[in-house]
Amino acid sequence: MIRVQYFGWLAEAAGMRSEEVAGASTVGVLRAMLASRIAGLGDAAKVRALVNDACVGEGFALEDGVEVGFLPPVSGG
Amino acid sequence: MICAEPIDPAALLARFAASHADAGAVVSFTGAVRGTGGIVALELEYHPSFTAKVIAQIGADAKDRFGIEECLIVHRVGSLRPGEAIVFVAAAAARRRAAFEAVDYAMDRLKTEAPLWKREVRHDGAEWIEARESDVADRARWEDSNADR
Repeated sequence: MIRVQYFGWLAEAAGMRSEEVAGASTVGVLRAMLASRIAGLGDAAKVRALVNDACVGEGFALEDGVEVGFLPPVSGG
Repeated sequence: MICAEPIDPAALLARFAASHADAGAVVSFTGAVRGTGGIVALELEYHPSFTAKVIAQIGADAKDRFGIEECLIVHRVGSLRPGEAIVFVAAAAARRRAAFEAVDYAMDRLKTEAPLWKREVRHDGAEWIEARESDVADRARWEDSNADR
């Protein structure tokens, strides 16, 4: 299982802050699985994927037990 | 660094300046929650580990790029009221130009890269904020200038 965390407005779009997902071999596969029910998540150019405090690309392989954070465009400062 | 409690910019500046008493120049910036526009509260969400890491990196990059003694960044998270300080950035350097630019550079990077998400809460609802085009343009300024100062 992969633990997915949603930040910013993504959590509202997802209706939750985190969830467990099975069957995603890469970030791209995970994103495609979730994008159908979470508006905005599918845009890889805008929503970054984070694993172990580093942004990763769509081809990044996901191992069982990993945590993936989806980060929408930022607005700090 | 990030802070979940109210910050005191004057105290932060005094402490920073005292710890760089031999620096010829100390520059600081404080960003605060605007008191106009009907904002009841400003909420700042952060990532439990990535946010602090990115902010520390921005401070280190500012220090290296402008050859200064230190660039301090303190950023609030949580719920803030109008008038409260959101972010404090200070730079200590031998000369003023590097100190000014380090603070300016750090703010432009914070605005476009720091993993923080603002939500403005008003009486009639709340709205997530996005970085402005002007923030992106400001950030791009630093790519054109000579990094070897």
